[in-house]
Parts: sequence; structure tokens; C-alpha cells
Amino acid sequence: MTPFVMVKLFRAFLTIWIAVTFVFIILRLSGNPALSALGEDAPLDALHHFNQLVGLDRSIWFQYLTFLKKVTFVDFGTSFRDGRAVSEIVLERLPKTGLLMGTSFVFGAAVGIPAGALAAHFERRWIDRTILSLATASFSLPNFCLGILLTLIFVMKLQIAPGAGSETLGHVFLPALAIGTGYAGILARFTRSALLDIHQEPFILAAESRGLSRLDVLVQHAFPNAAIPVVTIAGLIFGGLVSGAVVIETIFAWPGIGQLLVSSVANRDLPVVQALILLLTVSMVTINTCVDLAYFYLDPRIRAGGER
Amino acid sequence: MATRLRSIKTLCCAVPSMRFFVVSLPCGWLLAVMLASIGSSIVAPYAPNAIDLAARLQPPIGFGGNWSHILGTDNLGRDTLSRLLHAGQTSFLIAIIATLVGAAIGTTVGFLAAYFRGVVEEVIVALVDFQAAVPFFIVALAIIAAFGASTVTIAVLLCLFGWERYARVARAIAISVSERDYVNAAQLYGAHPLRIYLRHILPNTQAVLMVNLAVNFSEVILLESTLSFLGLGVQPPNASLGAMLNFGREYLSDAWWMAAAPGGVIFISILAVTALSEFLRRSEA
Repeated sequence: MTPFVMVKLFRAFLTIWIAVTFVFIILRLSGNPALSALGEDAPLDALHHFNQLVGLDRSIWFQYLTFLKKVTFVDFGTSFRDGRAVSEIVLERLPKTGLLMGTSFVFGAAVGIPAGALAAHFERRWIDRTILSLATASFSLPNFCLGILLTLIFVMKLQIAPGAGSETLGHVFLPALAIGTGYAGILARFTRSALLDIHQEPFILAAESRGLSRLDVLVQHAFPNAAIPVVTIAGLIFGGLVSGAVVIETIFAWPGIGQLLVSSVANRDLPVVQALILLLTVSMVTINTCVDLAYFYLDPRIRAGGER
Repeated sequence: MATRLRSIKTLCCAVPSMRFFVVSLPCGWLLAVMLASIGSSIVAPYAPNAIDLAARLQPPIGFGGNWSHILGTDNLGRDTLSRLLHAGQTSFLIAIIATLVGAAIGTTVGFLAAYFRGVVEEVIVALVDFQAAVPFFIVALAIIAAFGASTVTIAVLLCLFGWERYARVARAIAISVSERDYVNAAQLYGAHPLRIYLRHILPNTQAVLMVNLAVNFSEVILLESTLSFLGLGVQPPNASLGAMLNFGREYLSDAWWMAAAPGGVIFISILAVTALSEFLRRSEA
């Protein structure tokens, strides 16, 4: 455990602790939880009983510590809507979102990275210009607009794709396309500029002057070095995939955690919302910390104790 | 070798000569859309809620419609163009105000961190890191769940959007600039800290601020339309572009233009701001 790793882990815990505290504060600011759970015209003794049951009659610090303890043991109570355990509801929806995000990511990477390499190869020619324009257009097109456009074309007009649900594997294509297109654009631009930056490095010139083919130079020398800046945006991409899934799952009635989050927010089902917010925060922080640690192992300069 | 060096040189200052497409066209579109939206009560051919049941679901011009409703009508015979302008007014006004307020809040927080240093700075930096690690969209959903979806909630949320980006830049610039001689001189003359920060440090943030404003503006429009699209943002009777798109989604098979019109405006506006912000960033570099 070097100081670098320790500092990164400490920062990760700090961020998660801030998230937990943030959730606790806004839950307490949002009004009387007893009223929102039992309804506006619940009888007084029922409210009193509820307060005692949940611990709302204790001091705020006691409540905060209880909350911290529950969160540590992944106990989020039961949903206001159907009374089932929150962790159970979330767990049964998690694989669907995983499938959707995974497919979107693979699609985005499979289209974006080769497109970026192609653009860098034909720099400032018409292929480059076309790819750049398409990339800019694709990440300027909001995913919900694209989702509706895809529904209009493939479901309504051509009638070749299912528009809602997740019964068959074919259902994943349209939502994955809607989420992945923007990422393909971002990855294409990022790959292009990373490769162009690398292209100016002396070791590429050296490889070229040794008579290596352009493909060999690209695959053996340019890609591994271009990968480091691309890894940096992994956290950003994950966050975008999550936000994308929230919207797109709603459009395509995909029964994942995104759809669950939107319907829980609309119905103010606070136990489910807080569980999902904390789940997403922990995933984001984990990814970002992994990226930082990957840097540590990928880049010898950081391992040697230098500043990044 | 010589040609190689030259190609590297041209590569370094690669600014495409596409000024028209990246500056004039986006500026023109944004200006036109904003003027039309803000003056929608004068420009719009109909009142946004004027119902004409005899002219229900009329297609736009070019798809079998006529000049009385350029962009067609909805299920109640309301004119799409008029509703679009009305919705655009809400969306663009909120976005402009939110972007400016967000910049003011974020810059102030950044300056506070730079001025007080110590514990205040540590706390602010930790909060900035937290906000940068968690997508604002997720935080916004948590706040909407707690306080309920309303036009006020979304307006406040959008004003907070992007504060961490401004705060980070403002703090970094303030710390580096406060070492300069002219700042020391102002301090020696006994200038109030407020005056030093507003007159001597703030102008230094201008270049980065412009880029951040442009980036933020398109993201605010995107966030507002996304939340309104999900039914969690601007609430009826107020209309916004996202809410209009959500409404049009229900009539996709009968009247695609009800969704295509607001969707198109959102897309082209974000594209225009993206092109502009990239031009700003390139000319700054």
C-alpha cells in the first residue's frame, strides 16, 4: 500500500460518505416521512407509532448513526409501494440493466474506436470530416430524441423491431442503439485525438523509420499509448451509460433499474430511490477509483511517485 | 524528414476553415430561435392553447398539410408551431437564467475556497470531487424524489447545475493570480477583498468562463428537456420542449410531427451550441 493508493481509497470512502450524508439530509428536509408513508390524513396515534417504529422520535444524531449502520449492512427497508424488501426489488432488475448497458457499451466501442482510428488515419480528408461531423451530430442528439426516432422508423413505419419489453434478445437492439450511438461519437472523437497526439511522438517516427507497416505501427505502438487517455474517460462513459439507461429504459419499457428509478421518483418511493442513488454512487466511485489505480499500474511515471 | 516536420506543423494549428458552419449558422439559428421564443406572443400565428377540433391532427406542409398550420396540429387541433414557440420560451428562458446563476454560484464558491483556504477550501474541494464523481442527473433525481416534481424544483436544480466546473476553474485561477504583483499592489493600497476579487481576479477567468458557459448552456437544455420528458421537470400548464416531446410520444403512430418538431428544435439547438463551444475552445487554445 503506497501513499498514492491510500489517498485514492480514502477519497473514494469520503465521496461515498458524502453521498450517504447527502441522501440522509434531503430525506429529512423533504418533509415528515411518516406523512409521506401513511398519507396526509393518517390518524395521530398511527403517526406516533410509525415515528417510534422507525426511530423518528430519537435525536437527529441518533437517527443519522442508525441510518449509517443500516446503509453499511445494505438494509434499505421496504418499498412504500408494494411493501417488498428494496434490495430484493433492485437485485431482480439489475441483470436487465447490466445486459442493456453492456450491449450499448460494446456497440459504442465497436463502432466508435475503429471510426476514430479511420478518421485519424485520413486526417483532414473527407473521410475524417464526415466521421467528425457524424460524431458531433451523434452526441448532440439527445438519447431520448434518438429513442423516439428509432421507434418511429423501426417500430411504426418498417415494423421490423419490437418497441417495448425485454422478452427476447431482439428487444435489446433498439434501446442499445439509442444509448450506444452517442458513445460511439464520443469514443470516435477521443480515439482520433488520442491517436493524433501519439502520432507526433518520436517513438512513432522511430517505428515508421524502421520500416514497419502503418497497421503494425498503429496496433503495436499507437494503440497501447492511446489507451491511457481513453481509460480516463471510462468513469465518464459509465456515468453517461447510467443516465442513458434511465431515460431509454423508460421509453422502451425495459424492466431495469433505470425504469425503476424514474417510476420511484415519480411516486416518491423514497426507500427505493435512496437505495438506487447509493448503488449508482458506489458504482461510479468504484469505477473512478479503479481508473486511478489502473493509471498507477499502467503508467510507470506515477508509480515512481511523480505527479500526474 | 522536412515534409514530415511540416506535416506536424500543419497538424498543430489545424483549424478547419469552416467558419460559416461552426459560427455563423449556429449563431443565426440560436438567435432566431431565442428571439422567436421570447417574442412568441407576437410571432406565433395562434394562441398556444387555442383548440380547433375541426383541424385535428393536420400534417405539416410537405406532408399533405396546408399553410394555415405550417407544422401541423395536435390531437386537439392546437397549432404545433405556436405551441413550439411557447414551449421554447420556457426552455430557453430557464436555460439562460440557470446558466448565468450557475456560473455566479460556482465562481463565488471557487473564490471563497481560494480566499479562505484551510478547512473551508478542503470542504469545498471534497464537495467538488463528489459532484464530479456522481452524475448531476442522478443527484437531481434524488432531489426531485424528495421534494416532488414541480417547475420550481427543476428551476432551482438547473441553477445549481455545473457549479463544480465553475468552482474548480475559479479556485485554480484565483490561487494562481493572487500571487501577481498587481493583486499585491491593490492589497497594499488597502483595497477591499471583494474589490480585488471582482476587479482584478474575475477578469482572468473570462476566457475559460465563456467556454464553460457555452458547454453548460447546452447541458442545461439537455437536462431540462430530459427531466421534462420523463414527466419530472416542468409541469403542466407550463410547457417545455421536453414535455411537448413526451406528449407527442403518445401520438407517434398518428401524428409523428407532434414529437418531431420539439425533438428537432432540441437537437439543432444543442448541435449549434456544441459547434460554437468547440470553436471557442479552439480559438482559446
